[in-house]
Amino acid sequence: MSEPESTVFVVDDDPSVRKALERLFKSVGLDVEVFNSAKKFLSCEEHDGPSCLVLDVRMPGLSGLDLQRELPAAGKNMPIVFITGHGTVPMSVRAMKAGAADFIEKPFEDQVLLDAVNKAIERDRSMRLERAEIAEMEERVESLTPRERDVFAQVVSGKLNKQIAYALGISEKTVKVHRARVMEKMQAKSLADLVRLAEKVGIEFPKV
Amino acid sequence: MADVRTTERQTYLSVLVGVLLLAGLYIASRYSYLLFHSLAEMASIFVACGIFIVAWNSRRFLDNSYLLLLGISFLFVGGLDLVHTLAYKGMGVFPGYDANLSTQLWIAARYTESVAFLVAPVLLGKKVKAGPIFAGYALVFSLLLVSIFALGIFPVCFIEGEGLTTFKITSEYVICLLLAISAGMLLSKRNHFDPRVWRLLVASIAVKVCSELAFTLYVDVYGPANLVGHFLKVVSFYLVYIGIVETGLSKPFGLILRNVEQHYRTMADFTYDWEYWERPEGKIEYVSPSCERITGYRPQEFIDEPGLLGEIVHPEDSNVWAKHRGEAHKELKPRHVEFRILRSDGDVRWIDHACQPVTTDDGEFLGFRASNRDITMRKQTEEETRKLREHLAHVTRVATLGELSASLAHELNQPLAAILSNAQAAQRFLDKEEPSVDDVREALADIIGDGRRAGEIIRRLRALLGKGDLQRAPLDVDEIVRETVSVMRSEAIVKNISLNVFLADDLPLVSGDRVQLQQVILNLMINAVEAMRDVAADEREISIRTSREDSERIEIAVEDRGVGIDQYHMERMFEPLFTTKDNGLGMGLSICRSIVEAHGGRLWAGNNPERGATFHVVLPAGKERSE
Repeated sequence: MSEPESTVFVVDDDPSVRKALERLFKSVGLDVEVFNSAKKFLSCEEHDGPSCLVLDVRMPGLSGLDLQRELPAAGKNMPIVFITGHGTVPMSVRAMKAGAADFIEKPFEDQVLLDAVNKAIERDRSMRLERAEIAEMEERVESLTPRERDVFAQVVSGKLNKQIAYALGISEKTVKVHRARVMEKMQAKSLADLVRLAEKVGIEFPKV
Repeated sequence: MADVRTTERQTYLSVLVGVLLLAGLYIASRYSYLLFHSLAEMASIFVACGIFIVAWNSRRFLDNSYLLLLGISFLFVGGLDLVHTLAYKGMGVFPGYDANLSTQLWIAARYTESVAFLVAPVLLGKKVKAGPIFAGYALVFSLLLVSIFALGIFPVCFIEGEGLTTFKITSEYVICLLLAISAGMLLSKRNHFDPRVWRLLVASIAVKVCSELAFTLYVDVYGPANLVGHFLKVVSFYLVYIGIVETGLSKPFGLILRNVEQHYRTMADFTYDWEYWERPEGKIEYVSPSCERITGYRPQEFIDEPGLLGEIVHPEDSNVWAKHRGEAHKELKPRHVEFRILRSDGDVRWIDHACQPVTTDDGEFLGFRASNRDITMRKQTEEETRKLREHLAHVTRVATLGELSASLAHELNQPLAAILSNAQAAQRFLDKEEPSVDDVREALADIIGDGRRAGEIIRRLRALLGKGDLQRAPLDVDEIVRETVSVMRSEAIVKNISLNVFLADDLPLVSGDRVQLQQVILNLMINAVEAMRDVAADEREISIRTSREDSERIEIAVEDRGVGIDQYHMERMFEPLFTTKDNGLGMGLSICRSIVEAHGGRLWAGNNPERGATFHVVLPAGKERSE
């Protein structure tokens, strides 16, 4: 799988800090993009590789915590590593509760920041993989006919063919045909596999 | 020296006149004894009147009650002597009386005189009134005349053919005794008199005693003993005359004026300040004894060495003194200057020196009259007050910065974080298989820049936290505002306040203390931040303006868009210990105002037409001080 490069986004209003962070990430071979305000970052193009956001808590205009709140709406979900010159406990609690990956006080040891950033990128990568997997599953589910979806729901809820036929008011043979089509479309090798996929997609099946 | 010569000449002259008078009298006695007696008595009566006139007319200045009593008594002694002369045998003025009458009058006059000599020393040093003395003598004089003429109860003194009675002779001895006692009393009162006057008085009494003794011997009122007695009487009166009349009038500093001068000298000698009078040519005429308390040097030392004051002026103030001396001699106007001196024991004293030229009514310049006040205590108090005020300013400054500590830590952490990251990145660049020298060089350049930035922040904070003495220097107001705003930048970010700075750019410099003026602006900005706590985040705004109020004044205005100031606070907020903050010291604005006023400026506040308040600081432009 040829994956796009992972990227670190840095948002800090202080040019010195911005430049230093850019240099630090470059020195370990990470791709870096820097922004001097939260607004600029929100309006930049979307990036489809694994990434993380290094964010200064205090900034004029939109602050780091404000940006964190607005990210999902902007469709830029990515782990956030906060850095702050003078953090308070309530501030860090608020950031972590809102799902921040880490909260680091300036000045920091490079390894601490790099570890946090790497961990965040890893998390983003696995999240991205998972999201891709789910998207594919959803695509497969989408390819099912309504009748096949009904059968899928019955099968994963542990019903026997006979029970399914009775419930749907079709013949047992027809159920077998639908079931085989579902297994094929969903690329499941066994019933257990099918159940796992169904859980992953998390689609609510209408209760029979 | 001239005084002594004058005195000697006067003495010779007096003796000469005396001898001529006596010679004249002797010639008259060869011609007619009655003529001699009349002339001799008249001479002594004239002298007695002269004594009275001088004593009476100078009674207001005469502190010496001895001379006053003596002077008044001589009028009545003279009076009795006059009646005695008229009653003398052969005058024929009082028909029906013999020689006893004139002898009785004589004895009455001598008693009056000797009692006066006896009482006078007792009165020395006491304050007596001339009026009652005069009245007392008038009464005694009248009683004596009445007892002799009308009542005839005065004891008989002379019996024709028999000579003097026992009463008369005994009386002469008693009178001699009284005079001797009075002379003895005078000996112990020597310090009350001018030495010359004292000697004359003692001599007069001595001659008088001899005269009295001569009168105890005569049998015939025309006899030689009587002649000698009258001679001596004239001499004794004449001695008193010289003592009081001549000496008293011709020596202005002697009797009367000496008392007046003593008054003023006492006033000068007892002034608390150190006074002196300097002649135009530089000679010191007078120095008050207080100089010793203040300088440790005695008055005589200043008189002997007229440049001594200039020498003891503190070296650091010698130019102040030199400038004052130069201008004082040029302007000839009252002047005033403060400087330090070094006492003889090495201590430093602050002196407030006031001097003014002394001129006569017709404009002749007589030198300078100077008064030096020891103001060391006042200076020390002023110094302590100044230190306290600076200490208070410092405390409030530290408290103010304490309120900013969070944002200041942020401000300082930025360059530190950048330095650390840059340094660690540089290490990684070096650790690579092919180290990138360019990357390392760039990182190092940034580290240097950030290090300087951190240093600058520390420097500004240390200046604000510092406790240094007030230092006046020409200052650029724009630069002060810029630096202060940089300290507030982080705070404004955290509080979501937009900071607008409008600088005039071409302002004249002001003279002042950089740290204290920054403290004022910082305080006003923090108050502005505080005022907008409850204002919506996107409406928070502080504007700082510098402008030229007019050619002589510069204004710094700090404007907020907060809740404004209500009338009650508007009046009280500049008072010490007044605060609306939960944990405020209440010193901020009061210190700000005292700082601005110490710079010769004004600080006030007013509400804006739409919303919020504006604080105005107006400082005098210091072009002339910016050299």
